[in-house]
Amino acid sequence: MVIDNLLEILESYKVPVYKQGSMSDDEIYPETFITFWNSNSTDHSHYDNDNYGVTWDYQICVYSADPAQIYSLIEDIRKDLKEAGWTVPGKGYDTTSDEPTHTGRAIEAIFLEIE
Amino acid sequence: MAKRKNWISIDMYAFADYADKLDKLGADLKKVLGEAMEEGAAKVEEDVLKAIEPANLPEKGKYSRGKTKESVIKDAKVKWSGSYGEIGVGFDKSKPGAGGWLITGTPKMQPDQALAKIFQTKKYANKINDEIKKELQKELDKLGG
Repeated sequence: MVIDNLLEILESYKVPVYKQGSMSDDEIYPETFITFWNSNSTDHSHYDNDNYGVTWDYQICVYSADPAQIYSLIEDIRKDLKEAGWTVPGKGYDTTSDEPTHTGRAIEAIFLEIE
Repeated sequence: MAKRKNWISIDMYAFADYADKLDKLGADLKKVLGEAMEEGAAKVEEDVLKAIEPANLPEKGKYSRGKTKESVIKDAKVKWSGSYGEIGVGFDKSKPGAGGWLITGTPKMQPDQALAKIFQTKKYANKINDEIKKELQKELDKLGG
C-alpha cells in the first residue's frame, strides 16, 4: 500500500505524524510534527484509455516552533521520498499554522502505483 | 497553465498551435485568444466561488466572515506583454484571507476538498485548457480553417 510506504518514511523521523485536520481544537501542538493529506488519486491510463496504474498525490507538512528545524526536516523528507521512488516537485511552500508559536512548510509528493 | 497554491495562470503557450492557425487565417489574435482565455478565467472564478460556499467550508462556514470571498479575483482580464498574454485567476494574494489555508488545511482543519480539486489537480487545469481550445476551434471553424 502506498500509504504504508509513506507512513513508514514519515514515522522514521521520530516526531509525531498526524493526518491534516485531525488535531482537536484544544490539543497542544508538539514542538515539531508532520502532517499528511491525500489530495487526490487518479487513474493513469494509456492513450487507448486502458488504466495501468493510479497516481497518488499527497501533501506533506512540517510544523515546528523552530523554523530551522522545519527546513532541515522537510529537506530530509524530500530526499528520502525521492530515494523511495516518489516524485517531489520543488522544495516546498509556506503553509498556515493554527498556533502563533509554530510555522509550517509543505511539499507535494506524488507516487505512481502500477497495477 | 501554471499553478501556484492559490493562484492559476493561464498563458497562451498552451494554445500555440491554435494561434498559428488563426494567424494564418488572418484572425485578430489578441482579440480571439484574449476572449477565449477570459472565458476560461470566468469558469475558474465560478468554480472557486462555488467551492467557498458555506456548505463546502469548515463547520459549514460558521467561522467565515466573507474575507475569503472578497479575495477571489473577479472578472479577470488578459495582461499583454507584446504578443504574450497571461491571465491570473484564483485568489488575490495581496488581500488578507486569500484562500491558501483553505486549500492546504491546518493541523486542526481539513483542507477544503472542492478548492483543492481546482488548485491541486492536473485534471482541472486540463479541463479549463480544453474549454479554451473549444472556443478557439469554434473561431477556426468560422474562418474556415
